[in-house]
Formats: sequence, C-alpha cells, structure tokens
Amino acid sequence: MKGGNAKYFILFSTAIVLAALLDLMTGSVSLAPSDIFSYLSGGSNGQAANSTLGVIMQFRLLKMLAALMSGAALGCCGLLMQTLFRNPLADPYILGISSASGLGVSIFVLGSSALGLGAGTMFHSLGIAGSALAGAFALALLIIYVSRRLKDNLSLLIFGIMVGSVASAIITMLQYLSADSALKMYVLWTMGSFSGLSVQSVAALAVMLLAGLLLSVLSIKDLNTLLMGETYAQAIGLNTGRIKIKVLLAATFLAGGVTAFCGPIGFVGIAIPHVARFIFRNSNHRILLPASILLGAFVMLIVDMISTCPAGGVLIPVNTVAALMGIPVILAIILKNRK
Amino acid sequence: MENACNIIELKNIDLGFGKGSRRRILFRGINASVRSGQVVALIGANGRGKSTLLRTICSLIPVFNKEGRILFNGESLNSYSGSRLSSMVAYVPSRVERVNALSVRDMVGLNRYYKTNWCGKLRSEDEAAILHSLKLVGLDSFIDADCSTLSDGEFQRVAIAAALAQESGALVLDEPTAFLDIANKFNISQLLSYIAHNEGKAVIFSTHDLQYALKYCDRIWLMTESGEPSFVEGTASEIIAGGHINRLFSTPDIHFNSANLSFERI
Repeated sequence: MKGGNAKYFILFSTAIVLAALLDLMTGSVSLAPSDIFSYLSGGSNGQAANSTLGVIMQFRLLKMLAALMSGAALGCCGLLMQTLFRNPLADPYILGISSASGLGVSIFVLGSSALGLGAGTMFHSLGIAGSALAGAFALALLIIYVSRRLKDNLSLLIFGIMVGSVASAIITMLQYLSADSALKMYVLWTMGSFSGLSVQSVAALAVMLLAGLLLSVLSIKDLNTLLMGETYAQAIGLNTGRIKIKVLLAATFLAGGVTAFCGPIGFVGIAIPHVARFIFRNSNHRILLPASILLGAFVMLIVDMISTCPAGGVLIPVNTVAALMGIPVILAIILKNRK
Repeated sequence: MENACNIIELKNIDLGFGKGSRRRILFRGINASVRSGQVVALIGANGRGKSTLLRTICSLIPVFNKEGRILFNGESLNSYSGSRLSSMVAYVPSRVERVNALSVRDMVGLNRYYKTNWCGKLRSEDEAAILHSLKLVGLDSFIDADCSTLSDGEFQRVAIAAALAQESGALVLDEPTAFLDIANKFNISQLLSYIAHNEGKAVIFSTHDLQYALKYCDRIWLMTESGEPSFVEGTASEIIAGGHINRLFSTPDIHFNSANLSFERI
C-alpha cells in the first residue's frame, strides 16, 4: 500500500470516530462531549445506567452502533454486487434480498395481526427481524441452487430481479388484505430506522454483519479476478461457481442482516463504492473494499445524525435522508460516464 | 531434439457441443502434441472449432468424448485442481476486459493468484515475476500505468505478460492478433516466437494469418472442412507438401502457390 492511501485510511478512521461522537451528542436532548466521556468512563459501575443520562446514552449508543455497522455492511455489499455483476448500478438488494425480507416481514406482521397475536414490542421486533432473515436466507438458498444451473451472471441477475418482483406482488396483495395498524407497522419498517433496537438485537446484528464482512475480506483476491470476467478467472484456474456462492452468502449476511434489523435502507450501498473509486482511482479490492467499509460507516453515521436532528421533535426517516444524500452521487456517476 | 518432452499431448479428442439428443460433433479424434520451445499456429475457418479446441486444452470446457485425454508432461489432469492447471497452462482469451483504474502491475499480478497471499498482496518474488514478464513484452516502463489508457497493441502485450507471469509451461492464445494493425500483428507474432524459443515455453495460438504461420511457426495445426472435417498437424513444409492448404477452401478452383505463399484462382 502506498503512503498516500494509508493517509486516507487514517483520515477515514478519524472521521468515523468524530462522526460517532457527534451522532451520540445529537438528538432531542443535546449532550456535551463531557457527558459522553463521563458515561463511557463510569458506565461500567452501574450507577450511571439508571440516570437520565444513562438511559439516553444506552439508547444512542445502540443506535450509533447499528448505524455504523449497517453503513459498513451496505458499502461493502454494494461493492460485492457491483463487482459480481460488473454493473456500476448494482446495489446490495439487486438479488431481491430486500423484497424477500419484505415478504417475510409482511407475512409476519400481517399474519400475526390476523391471528390476533402481537402483544408486546419485544415479540414484534424479534418477529420482524426473524421473519426478514428467514426471507433473505430462503432467497439465498434458492439463488445458490439456481446459480448452478444458470450459465452466466446476467441470468442470475434477471432471476434475482424476477423473484424480487414476485415477492413485491405478494406483498402488495397482503397489504391490500391487511388491517390499518399492521399496514402502518410494515410501512414504518420500509422507512428504515436504527432506533429502538435492544442490546440483544444489536449483538445479533453484529454477529451477522461481522460474518458477512469476514467472508467479503476473504474474497478480495477472488473479487479482483472477477473484474476481468468469469472466463478470465476460470482460465487462471479458479472455480467461479464456488466464488459466486461465497459472495452471495456474504451479501445475504450483510444486506439480509441490515434489512432485518434496520429495514431496507437504500442508495448508500450503490453510492459508497463509487465515492471510494473516485477518491482512490483504483479498482483493486485490496484498497476498494476496506475503503467502502469505512466510508459506508462514516456516511451512515451522518445519515443517522441528520435523521435524528431535532427538527421540532420530528424524526426524518433514515431512507429519506439516505435517498437525498445518495441520489445526487448516483446521478453524478451516470453523467460522468456519459461524457 | 534431445531430452524434449511433449509438454501437451492431445489423444483422440472430439470437439462438439450440446447434450443428449442435441449432441453435435464438430471434430473427431484429434491427436496432436507440442513440445516446450515450439510455436504452434492453429489455422482454420471461422466456426470450425479453433476456440473450442483451445478452451478444451485449457480445461475451460471438458473434453467432449470420454475416451479423449489431454496429457500435461505425460500426466492426465483428471480432477479439477486450479493451482496445478495454472502451473501447466496459461490462457489469453481473444478479448480481454479492460478494467478502469486497474494498474498494469495489478492486472498482471492477477495471474499469480496461486502464488500470492490471501489478500493478493504482491511480494518481492511476485514483483520480480511481473517485471520480468513486462520486460519480455517490452512494457516494463508501463508497470504503474492504468490499463484503460493503453493502446490496443500495448494492451494485448500486457495480456500476454499476465499469462507469462503465471510461470506455466505452456501458453495458449485465442487469436492474439485479431484486432491489431499490420505492425502490431507482426510484432506480437514475433514476440510469441521469442517467448517459445528463448523462454522455453510451448506456445499455441490461433490465427488467420496463414502466410505468417507458414513462414515463422514451428508447427501448424490445420482444421479443414472440405468434405469431412479433418485435423492435420505438421511442419509448414509437410503441410504444404501434403496439399492440405487447398482444403481450407470448399471450392476446388482455388490453388495455393507454395512459392509465394499465396492463393490463386485457376
């Protein structure tokens, strides 16, 4: 790694720490940095946890961690998909993972309300996460099974999009049949949120995303050869079928995990790898992958901060902020490529 | 030649495509071999199966018939082993993708997949192999260049350097001169001869440049189609003497003049 690149990585890491601090300070009650440090240094003895500061800090700490990890995961997953499909507009959900998770969630939400279940938020948040994961992994198994029969990645892409459309069609039908309260719950999930996750949920999210990130980092060399196309990778002697399954599994852990716990957060996943390419002007995944992870984490902390800015006590949905920040980047890429 | 082993041997290979009832055989019973230090030119009409043959040799597609065998240094590669295959033969496809913002060093380094560490970091021996390969193709000063800024001729050389960096015994190239101008066609062909004769590699490449192949290549593999498809191999003089070249044309009124290596209508 050249000295110039190392400088950027140090800069990104510092920016993440600062953004995390700012994110902890922002909210309906503004905190001073000294409050945060006093909580973090004395938080372990249990006294602070019961104070107002402790309650606020625990809520914000979990929210901050969820945003940080989701950003890292989506940046990484966007890069995986753009390389696998060699398409600059591929996003983490291109294989239909968000639709499959959405189908799982809508079946759970609408089903549980129809069956008269649904007392307790704990039951709901765990149920939503579990059903989203079930949907994502069911799709992943289907795609891995089908990918052995499909000749190329383009067919895989078409298959993913078609499955996503089928899932959306079923979701629409379920929405039509559902009660207002269930519908609202589903719509809130689609808006994305990092708030209100329990310690257990954040821990589960961390396990999934770390698994996905680890798989991705172990695929750096394979991703580089995929840049040259599948035939080239095979000619070097690689088993591209196995690589595809590894990348698909990583994408399911990453996109599936984020979707399950925080909702289908869009645009960040497409935009981040392009920003990383723009900064480093290098297609080598040994640079691009860690850069996308760090940039994703940084940007998502900013998104979370903006979404919880005290605008008269009104929260802006995460997906709205992500779209407003991500779409200009995507447009800039398209315009630049047209030149 | 003393102590020369056949680095690649094709034994009774069929070429074809399709499965079950749609199975169609293009060529039957190809037997051929190539030694290290030899350049082989593969010649034949479009769609005759040149690419299929080259891809079969590189194990990108399986041998069409069960009895067919490909031997590398006398051994059959029965099971798929990527690292062994990559040490035997390197393949340069007819069209290599140009990746934006990928340096020549990183692209050539990709072919050292089985030699680099888990994240593909290039160590000193990798750097040395990359530099050596680029020197052979005369582009060592381009090592930090972006692949997408190279000319077609330069990029084809980089693709060959990548195959060389694999340090395999054989090099297989699918129409390496197809999209190049006359000067680049000649230079690349000369480069392939140099690689075979000076680096001791076995080189097989498909081409439509018959005159060049007959004049400069050690052996010719000819896939003809008039009447029955047939595969002949031999030195240029054997091929010409055997009258095989006329069979590249399906009409009998074209004659190959071996004195000036050109075709005439009688």
